[in-house]
Amino acid sequence: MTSTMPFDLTDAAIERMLAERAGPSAPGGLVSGIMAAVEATPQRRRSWIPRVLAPQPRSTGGRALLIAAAVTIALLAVAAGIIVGALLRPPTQRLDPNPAVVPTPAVTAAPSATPKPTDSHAPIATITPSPSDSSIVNGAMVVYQFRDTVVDLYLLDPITGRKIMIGNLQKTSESQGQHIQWATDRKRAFVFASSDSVQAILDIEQGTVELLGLGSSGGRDAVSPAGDLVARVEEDTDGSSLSIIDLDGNEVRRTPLPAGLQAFSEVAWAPDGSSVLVSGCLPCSETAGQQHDHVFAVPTDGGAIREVANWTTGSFGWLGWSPDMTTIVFSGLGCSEPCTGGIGTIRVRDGLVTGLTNAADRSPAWSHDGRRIAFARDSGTGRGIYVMDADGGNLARLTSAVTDGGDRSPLWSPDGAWVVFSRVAPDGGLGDLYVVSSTGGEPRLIEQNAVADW
Amino acid sequence: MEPMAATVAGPAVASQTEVVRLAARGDTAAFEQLVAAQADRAFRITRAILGNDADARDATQDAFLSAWRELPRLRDPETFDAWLRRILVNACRTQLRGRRRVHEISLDVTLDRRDPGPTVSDHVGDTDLLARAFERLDADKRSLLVLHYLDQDPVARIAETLGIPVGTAKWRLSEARAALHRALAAEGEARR
Repeated sequence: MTSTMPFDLTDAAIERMLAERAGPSAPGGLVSGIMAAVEATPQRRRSWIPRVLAPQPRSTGGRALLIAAAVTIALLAVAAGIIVGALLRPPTQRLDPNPAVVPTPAVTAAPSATPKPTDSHAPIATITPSPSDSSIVNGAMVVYQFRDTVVDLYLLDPITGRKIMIGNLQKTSESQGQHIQWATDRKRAFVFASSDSVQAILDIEQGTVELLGLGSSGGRDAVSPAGDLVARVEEDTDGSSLSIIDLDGNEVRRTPLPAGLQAFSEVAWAPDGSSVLVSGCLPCSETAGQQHDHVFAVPTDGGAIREVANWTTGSFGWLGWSPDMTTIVFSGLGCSEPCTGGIGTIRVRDGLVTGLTNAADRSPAWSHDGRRIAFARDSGTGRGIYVMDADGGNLARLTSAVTDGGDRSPLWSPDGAWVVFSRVAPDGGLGDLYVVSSTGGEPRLIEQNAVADW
Repeated sequence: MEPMAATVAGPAVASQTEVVRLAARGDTAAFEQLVAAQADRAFRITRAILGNDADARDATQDAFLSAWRELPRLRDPETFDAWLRRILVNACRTQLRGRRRVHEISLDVTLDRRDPGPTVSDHVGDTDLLARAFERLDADKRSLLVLHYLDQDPVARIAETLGIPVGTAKWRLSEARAALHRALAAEGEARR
């Protein structure tokens, strides 16, 4: 790639280019135009709902109030949904975003319309589809999809196209940071929209969506495998710490991280819930070779922090435990050009770091049996989704990215036969979900503007 | 951003925090003070991210309108600057997503494809090439680079603006710069 660089990319060149793009000053009339619009726009006043969303310990009474409020909203929303839906459109209209792609979708019960919520984050419908169809539930993806003014939350079998709607959230922004994650029992799933401080639980058996009031960490929350705790890195004047909170927003444990560590916000729960991995740099430097990266395992029972690995020749980015907890896979995020990041593994018992690839690779994902790793390559003509054995062998390319945004975030099907990934446009967004056989073939579009877990 | 109080003339200068409090209570004159003090900088940020006057004007107006609507919910008036810039960045994201739908008929695309011409100096040509590489980046990467290289924000302030830990801001900025490097290489290939 470096052979085609037209000139050196310096800070001064970037500053000059951006100064030219920015122009000299704002055009005349901007302030008066803004104020004319302001005069015609009412302010939004505080209501009880933002307090529900605030990260505060909830007393029994407060919880009762919250439940009562949520039930009221749900009843109003369902009632409004039934009425509006009956008047405006049939229920099936909302459930078939890609009729040309999904073969014979089996539509199930769903919220029938989009009633006006009382607050931007309020759940606007709770439905009980009674997902007794175990053939969907057992092997389904759980999907978070932007649609017009709402976020749809549903189960999807991407192979057959069958889906079960679980509920909706009011859409608040187009920003990134949304993710959805199964609990290990696959009876619940969790939604996090970090940029909007929205967290919610999907109860698959009950067919409900419940908002959580965990506040914002600014980074990415990670839910425990059992689905009862959330881990996040927080920073204050005393430094970084790992905070474990329950689903009522109560802090269960706060563990200070080593002094001076600049922790990355991505954390990873051990599959048995016994510890959480945190990575960061100490010392940190933008000069290659002068930064020292570390991975720490923070026990969730209050035990002593243990350093799992450290190195000075690369940067630990995203971390993921193998299902048997013997190995940690990581992507070398944050490396500067020429980027030699790549995917690597850490042997847990002795911290041995092994590089598996040597390119701008990201988003490594273990197959459910722990034998294979899928990842996304984001460099040059090699951009696309790849799979390989856990030791780096049998590397195979599954896709070629056709957009500047690239192919990202691969996920394995439970049986390892399929890989789902996001194809992202240059201007970002959630991306479109595609499925491809893990042995190769033509990728097939399954959903637009969505993220998923499988 | 510099404290706004330093730019407000007059014998009885209210601190920005006090002006924000007044605006949060519905005082449009106070809000106009905030807009007047911040509009120029806000426009330059959105102009740099979006690349044209029309979109930048829309995004800036949308951002201030959103700020006006949501101001009563801002818990700490002292965080107004970082809060407003976060709204600006979100407004730019929305603009870019809207542009995706009309990309085929965008006049900018037509103009971008014209040859720069033999009279363009190497310096301008490099800047133009870099600008086109910048156009390949998504909204988040553009925003990080603009905040850091145009607004001269240190990483800690970017972290505050985006509401993320410093370490995360640092590697996201590094990623954005690396992405620009790759985009520049791609533009170089396209020019050959």
